[in-house]
Amino acid sequence: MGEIIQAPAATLSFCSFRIGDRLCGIDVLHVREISTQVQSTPVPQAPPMIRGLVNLRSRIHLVADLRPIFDLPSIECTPNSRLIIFKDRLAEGLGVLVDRVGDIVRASAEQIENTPAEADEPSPVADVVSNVCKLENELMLIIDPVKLIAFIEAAIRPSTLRTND
Amino acid sequence: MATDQTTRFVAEAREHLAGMSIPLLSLEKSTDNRDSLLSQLLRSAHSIKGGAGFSGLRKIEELAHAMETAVEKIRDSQSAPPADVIDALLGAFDRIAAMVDDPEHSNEMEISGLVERLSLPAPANTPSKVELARSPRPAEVQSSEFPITDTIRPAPQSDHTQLYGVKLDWFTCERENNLPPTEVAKRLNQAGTIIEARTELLGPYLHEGMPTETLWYRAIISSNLNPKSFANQLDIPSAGIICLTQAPPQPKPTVVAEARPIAATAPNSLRISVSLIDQMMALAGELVLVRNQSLRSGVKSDVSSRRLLRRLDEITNDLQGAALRMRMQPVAALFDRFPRLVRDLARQLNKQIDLRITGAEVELDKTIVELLIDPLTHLVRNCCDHGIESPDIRTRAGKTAAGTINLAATQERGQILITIRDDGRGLDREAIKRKAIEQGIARREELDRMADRQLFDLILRSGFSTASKLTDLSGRGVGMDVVKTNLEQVGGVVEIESEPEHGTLFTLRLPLTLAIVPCLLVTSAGRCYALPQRDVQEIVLLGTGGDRPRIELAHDEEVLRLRGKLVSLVRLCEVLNSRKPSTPHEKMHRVKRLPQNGNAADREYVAIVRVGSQQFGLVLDEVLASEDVVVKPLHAMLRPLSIFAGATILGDGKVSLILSAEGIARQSGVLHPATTEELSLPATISETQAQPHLLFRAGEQELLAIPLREVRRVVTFQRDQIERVGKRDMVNVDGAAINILSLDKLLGLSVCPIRDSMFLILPRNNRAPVGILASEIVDTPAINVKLDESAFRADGITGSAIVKNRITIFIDLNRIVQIWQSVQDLPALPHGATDTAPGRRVLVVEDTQFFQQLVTKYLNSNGFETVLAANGVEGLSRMKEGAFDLVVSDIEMPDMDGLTFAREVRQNPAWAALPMIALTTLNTPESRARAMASGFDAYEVKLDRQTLLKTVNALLATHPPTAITSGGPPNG
Repeated sequence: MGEIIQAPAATLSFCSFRIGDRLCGIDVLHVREISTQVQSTPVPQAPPMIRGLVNLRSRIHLVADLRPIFDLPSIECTPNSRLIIFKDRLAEGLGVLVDRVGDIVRASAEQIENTPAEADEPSPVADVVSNVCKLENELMLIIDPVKLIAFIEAAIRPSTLRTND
Repeated sequence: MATDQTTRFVAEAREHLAGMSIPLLSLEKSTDNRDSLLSQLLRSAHSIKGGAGFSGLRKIEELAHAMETAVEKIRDSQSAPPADVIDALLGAFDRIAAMVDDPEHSNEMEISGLVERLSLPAPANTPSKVELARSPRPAEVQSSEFPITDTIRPAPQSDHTQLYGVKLDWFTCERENNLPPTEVAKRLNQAGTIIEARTELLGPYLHEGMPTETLWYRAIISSNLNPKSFANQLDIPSAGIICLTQAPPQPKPTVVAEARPIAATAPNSLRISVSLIDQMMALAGELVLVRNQSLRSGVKSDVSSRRLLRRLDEITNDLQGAALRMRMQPVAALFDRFPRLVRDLARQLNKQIDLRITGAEVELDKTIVELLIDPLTHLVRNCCDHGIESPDIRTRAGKTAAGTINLAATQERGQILITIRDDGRGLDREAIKRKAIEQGIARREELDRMADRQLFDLILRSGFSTASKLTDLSGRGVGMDVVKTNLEQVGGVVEIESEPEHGTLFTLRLPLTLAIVPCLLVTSAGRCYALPQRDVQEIVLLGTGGDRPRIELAHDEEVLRLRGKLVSLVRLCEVLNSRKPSTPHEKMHRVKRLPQNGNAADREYVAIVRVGSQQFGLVLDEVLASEDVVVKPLHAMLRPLSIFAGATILGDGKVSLILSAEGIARQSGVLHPATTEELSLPATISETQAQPHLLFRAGEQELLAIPLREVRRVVTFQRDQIERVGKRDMVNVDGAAINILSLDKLLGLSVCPIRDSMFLILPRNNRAPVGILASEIVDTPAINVKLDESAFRADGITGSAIVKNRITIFIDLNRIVQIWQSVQDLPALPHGATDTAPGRRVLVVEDTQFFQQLVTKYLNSNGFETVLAANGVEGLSRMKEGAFDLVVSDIEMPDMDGLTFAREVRQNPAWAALPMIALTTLNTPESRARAMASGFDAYEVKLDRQTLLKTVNALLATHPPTAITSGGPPNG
């Protein structure tokens, strides 16, 4: 007689932001904080996606710039630039520099899709993005911190030299 | 399975053990403070016993109890215990230490032998109980009756160093000793200064009138007398006296070490994690920044603001100072291990050696203390081994039969000095010169011209050794360079002085702290960097003035002529821009662009930088200032950039990178390859330069090699020193229990024969208590060869090559230790399933016993039921006997390899969808492709447990569990 009420499908929340005009997101559970301190000290010899080092409350954080991944040139910081810092258990002192931060986007499991495996050619975007989220007007690329870290580490490791742990 | 409780117990037990080693050794010599030493031993053993019992560690509890009983017997016997009792106690101490290091397996360990040795009957001269009863017994008293708090100290402005607890009963004093209360009070006051006193009056007594039976009085009295004298002075026979402090050091030469307050009795210390201290340092640093900013922004001239700022300044400095001091540890943490080491060595070598330690309370930064352990151990062993002569040689030379080693720490003008002095035979100058000629380091004429200091410095080179016999490491030349490199890592230096027949003196100079390093702030291309001052010898200002040094060209390279010598130059801006070493072509190109005449506006600085025993010049735009800089480790992901040694936060809050002289030298190639062997190399290998390697054998068939810089020590031991503890073979090395690791099981090599005398290779970069078993040490050559990675493949082997016409297998020592550790980390076989995968059956097909154990243990602990098969044939039989949810299989097996096995399995339609994972050491795209083609669903490289589990779960998630069938699948 009574109606069985379905529990709503699990919702995920994402911190949305823009790199250039690409809409991206990071699972809020992965985010420690968003900081306005975006001026960083560049690190010579580091690949272009490492923007530099920044001091946040006496801890030195690494700032990653995603623009090179999207094939965009790096630009000067603007008043809208922000730093999205990952939680410590994912990465020690790592943050991503973004052009502007958007709202928190809630999505249900149906809106999330795995990125298609049959890409024509390997692209750096696929190397850091694990899922896409379908929104009304756009597709939001979900950045996977684990893949991002692996990508940065691979870029920095010199291929000719062997490093011992 | 280590619970919080067990971890806590382990930490506390280690502290207790640390406090027991000196008292144990002191027992051998009779000293006046015997009683307090014994009490301390009892307290520690008792605490360990209690803690172990509470944590369910029965064997530790039993052994601690046996120690406690043995010590009690010694106390009761009133005389010095015989040497074998001490040996038994030391043996038990070692065993408890080993068990505490491995609590999960401690209950399986064998201790009955030790317990028996400890329960030998008490020595004959225990005074009989009857005699004791005759003399008026002093009151029984325990230290727990006297609560010592922070405020209780020996009387100020006096030379009192002792605290005694006195307990007496007023009535007994009057009755038995004929001392009325007034007399008792007089004597108490004469014995010393009463710090605190209390008479026990219980409520009901007063209610009924004054007590008539016993009225206990307890007092804490400070005095400068030793226990016997104090008791005599007090002269109250029925009073119970207990000493509440350690006695001061005795001037007798037989004392092993200065006694000092032990953590167990001092309740006012805390164990704090280092990260909290680092956090405090960081916050103090932030405060300094804020202070600086406020000083700069508000230049208010009114008095009150200035006073406030000054106050803020003072407090900030104090806070930073306090934060720094928190990291300091007394050097005793380092020195404590040596009395035992020297005792054991002296017995081993049949020599008499006295070790005197002073300055144990001098404090050093914690990180420095860690890095000094190996160098100091090596130097002390050297003193015992080669410095101090045997007693008859000494007496013949007119010296005392017992040699003395003086180990001291002092502070001097912002540096810590640690000296090791022995009165032995001194360094043999001729032998050093001979060895140097033999190794081609210098010619006879040069050597004869060298000052002593330079000559002795040669000893510190890698590969140098003048010992004729093969002892632990002194004979291998592996040791002295460890001393030098470890010291250089912390910015310290070692100086050697020696006089023939009189002895040798090693002086280690160390900075007070590593956390703050004086640096030069320099700029290049508009950016500011920090260059540690210890790397910089001098700064030269270039220019166009007539007498200013100029950059010249020599062999197409930029050089500077400095006081007659040519110094190669490197431009910092170029180092920062490129990554690879400059090729000759690039250098030539750069040189061509050099303005020949120097512009007036071109002011440049050259920092003459020292790396090892060489120099080069670093060309900078500007040198801004000298500053003490708080060093922060470089972000983990940036480690491959070897030109940076760390990072720091400057006064304006911005991050600045700290340069590494060594890294710059290496990348720019400014120092010639032939001489770069002298550089103390950290992690990165450059494959074009010859590296010293340790060449050795374990099994008869293979010749093995390990890069020398991965080796901390090579230890010799005898077959009978091998102890079987639980399931493992171990050897006692300098008081630490080291596990013996045989390479045959791990890498599929031939078995190492056990001879009377064996070797153990200890890893440098890893402090895990494990060593590689070797049967023969062949040589320590410098090898420069390209490794072939295809012939021998296994996790832990970096490759193979032909060395001296023999096939040599190169071992990755760090990886091997990692593998060993991962096996240890596995929890023991659980009983019952967990909630992850109830009742799933996995077939494990693997021929190597080691990996069989590893994989099944891991799967079992995650709730999977496993069945083992040793090769493909057996695997198929097992599959016919029962259903499995998943198969994990090796590739390289005898009788039927993994690929054939997989194909056979897939032939059977019932098993077509059965998830199969290949688990192997081969990791190339081709082997992966072949495995997948043969029918495997996934391919995992051995020993990455996390991804293995992920893959297993992922595969199982898409396959429903197979019904537990009776009988197998249809024939296939």
